[in-house]
Amino acid sequence: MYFEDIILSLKNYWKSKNCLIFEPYNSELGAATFNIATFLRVLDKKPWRTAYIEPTRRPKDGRYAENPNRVQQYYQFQVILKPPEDNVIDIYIDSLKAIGIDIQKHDLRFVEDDWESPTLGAWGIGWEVWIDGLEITQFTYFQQSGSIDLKIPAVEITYGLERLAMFIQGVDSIFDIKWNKDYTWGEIYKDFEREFCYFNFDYADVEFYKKLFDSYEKEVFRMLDLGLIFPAYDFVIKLSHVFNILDARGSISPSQRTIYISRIRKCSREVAKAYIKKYDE
Amino acid sequence: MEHRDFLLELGFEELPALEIESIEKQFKNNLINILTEHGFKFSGYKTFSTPRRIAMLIYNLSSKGEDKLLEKIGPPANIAFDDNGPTLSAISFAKSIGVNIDELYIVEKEGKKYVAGKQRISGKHIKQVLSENLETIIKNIKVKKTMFWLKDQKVRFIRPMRWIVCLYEDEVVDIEIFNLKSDRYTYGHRILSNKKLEIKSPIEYEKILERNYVIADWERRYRKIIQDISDNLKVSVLPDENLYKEINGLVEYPFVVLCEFNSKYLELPEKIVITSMKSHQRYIPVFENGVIVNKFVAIINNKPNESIKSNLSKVLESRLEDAKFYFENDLKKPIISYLEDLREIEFVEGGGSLYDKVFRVEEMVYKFSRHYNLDMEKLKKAIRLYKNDRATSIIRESKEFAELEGYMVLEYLRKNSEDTYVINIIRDWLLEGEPLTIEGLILAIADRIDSIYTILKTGYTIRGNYDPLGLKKITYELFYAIIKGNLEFDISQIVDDKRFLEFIKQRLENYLIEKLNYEYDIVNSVLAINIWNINEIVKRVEFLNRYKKESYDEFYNIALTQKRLYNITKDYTYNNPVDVSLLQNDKERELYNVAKEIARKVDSLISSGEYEKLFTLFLLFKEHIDNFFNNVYVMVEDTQIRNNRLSLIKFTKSLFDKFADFSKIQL
Repeated sequence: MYFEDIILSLKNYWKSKNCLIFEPYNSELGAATFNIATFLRVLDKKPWRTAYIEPTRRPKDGRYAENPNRVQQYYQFQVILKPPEDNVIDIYIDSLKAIGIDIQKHDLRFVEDDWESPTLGAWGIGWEVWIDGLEITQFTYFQQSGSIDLKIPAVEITYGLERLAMFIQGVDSIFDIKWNKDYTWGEIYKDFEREFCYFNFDYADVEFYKKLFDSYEKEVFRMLDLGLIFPAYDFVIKLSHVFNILDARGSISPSQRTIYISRIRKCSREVAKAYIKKYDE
Repeated sequence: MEHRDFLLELGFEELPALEIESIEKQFKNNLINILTEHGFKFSGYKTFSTPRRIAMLIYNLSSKGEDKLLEKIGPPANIAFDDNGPTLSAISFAKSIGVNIDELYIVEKEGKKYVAGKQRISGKHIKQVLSENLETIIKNIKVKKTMFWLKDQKVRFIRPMRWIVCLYEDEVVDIEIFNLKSDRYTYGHRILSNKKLEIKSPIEYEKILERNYVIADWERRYRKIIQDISDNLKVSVLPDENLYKEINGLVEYPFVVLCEFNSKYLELPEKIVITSMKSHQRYIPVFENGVIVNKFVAIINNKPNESIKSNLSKVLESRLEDAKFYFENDLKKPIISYLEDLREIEFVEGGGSLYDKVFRVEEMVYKFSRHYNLDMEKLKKAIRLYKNDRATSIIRESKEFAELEGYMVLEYLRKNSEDTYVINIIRDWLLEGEPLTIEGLILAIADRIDSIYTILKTGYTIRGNYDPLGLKKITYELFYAIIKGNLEFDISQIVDDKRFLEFIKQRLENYLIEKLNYEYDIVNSVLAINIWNINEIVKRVEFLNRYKKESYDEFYNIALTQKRLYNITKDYTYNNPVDVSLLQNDKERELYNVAKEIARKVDSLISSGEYEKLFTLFLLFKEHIDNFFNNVYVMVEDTQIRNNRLSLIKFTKSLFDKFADFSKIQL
């Protein structure tokens, strides 16, 4: 199954499970959770079911396109079920069948792993899903978002698409994943990867990004003062990405790190509070 | 009354592997307690647990709890009965508790007489008891973290509950909890038998599950894993009970497989290879002739095939590849140069950086250098190295290798061809295996003293079991190091801080009682003495413990004597020296002379550790003390003489006090 077919099959599968097929957010996201379809939508009292693909940027995870398993941008496929069905795990397992995995022939396991995003103040209880020892999905019962307790239970299912594709296609390198019959993942992204690694690790302008961090942070609160929740949240996303770049650049000491993270968490908490106040009360 | 088998199974989404055993145990205890409390009888039970279920089968359970007789107090006796016999008040009381009038009797309460009777409370049916108590049974299971999964946020448990089987023989016991109704249907293995299974009666529960690839008995599953490894794979593996337990909590039906990985990764340090297998993949490392080889055992939850095996190996190889990246990256500069980076790493919040800590420890070891013959040059070198792996990428960047902190510095130093003696000092700081260097033990001690003092200074306290910084563990390691090295020093001269010293004594008390299993009164008798040499405290406790066991009569006599001395002088607050001119009686003078002689010897006997001799002396002393009390009356009219005698007794007692305060001993 080609990479594009895995994406299409997952979309079709979750569409058949009554999910709204959403699209990626148009900014650099560190995880699909940052998308408004997750971070904000899990907070309110309205039911919500969605599935979408999200290009995910992790500057620090890049290896100049030299490591077969690590890249600084990859794809997540995200599903939010709010509230989830009682047999939500069976529904998830069926999605694996939909992308051609014969689970009878593999070792499928749910291993305790409580997911957490310190910058988003979001966390949940759940599992890493393993297939033959390989983590392919993070399965989480969300408990908090923006440091606020959820009112309606929500399950977040996050598939690592490249991992899945390598597994399904039996290739040993991300770069060898067949995107369609003509192109490999590497042909599309190898140069992109290498250049961004140079940028993230070696050339990103630290002073410029530090200034950006301070400015974006100010913008979050300025927008909140104006009651503009979505623009404020947009700057939280940007803050997080700027932090990731500074971190990859090695310009954040471990003690500063905690401070940066708590600054972002404060912003996401304020946004979450304002969202509930404006749209859910 | 009928007695039949009973089954209660709670079905879950996958429970955290490491907590299943404890959940099973608590579930069993809570259920048994409730049943016993309600007067149920049964002939035995069996418990089950897998990642997806916790269950209990109870054999020959009575259908109802036994009736109980409960004493009820009625009206005052003089109102209940008059000259004509029972009054209306007695009759209606008897009726209200369901007894005949002639079954009433008289009880006395606060000097007044009342009528009373025994009301029969009939035992409750199993269904009622479970309906009323199931929630408590589940809520009282203590787990690390709970979650909500239903709209009702008050429903919380470790993972979502999905089904309940509750049978009394062939009948479903109707109960309801967490939006679920009990039934007779359980579920098979998620992959190998993913279907609803009808349980007709409790006794067939285990067999039906086994036919559907679930070995519900925790112990049997565990034994199968161990046996399959040794009998089918015939390999020798890392003995690691916790790892096996965790694996057992990840499978409902274990299959073992032997896999291989690329041998080039064996060039990495063994600890890295083992950690990659164990801590994330839960694979079991394989050894041949005591050396790790490029093989591992995986316990999987499905029937093995070649594709699973090759996938398992691939995942491990990609982890090892990552480790190799970090390892080689870290070696690009010498490990000593990471010292500067420690400035940027906090030791604990409010406790300065690791760099600060390193230099505090360096200053502290100088205090030890006066008492011990230390190679200060090598020790100083080790101190400037021992924390440096905290700044390397393998510890800092990767969560999975964080547990190798301390070990990695050794690996890197070996690669840097560092002096073996310096490496051994750092090795000994980790307190693993027999210590090779005195400097290592001193570093182990100084590092931990500094950690304790610094952490306490931030205002940190241990609340019950809540100790996120692991202060208790650090303190126990300190005691371990001191005892292991048989090192005599006064800790109050290293850190003279009241809060620190109080904390140390309080922890030492726990350590001696909980960890080393000494009796609390013996421990307290020694801790009551104002000494701060931890090794000596432990030795005295050890000695007293042995002495009590081997020579109980002597022990008893000495303790009793000191108690007597204590009782007679406890209200005497003066601290006057004995005035020889006021000693009147021969026996009095004799006691004084003996005491003076003992006073000359006691300190040197204690400091040379000749406790046996000291106690022989104490026994002799006791004879003189007894003689004194038999012949001398202490509490005479004349205050001068009386006080002088009390001073003599106090002086006598003070000699025992140099070793331990025996008045704390329970006789």
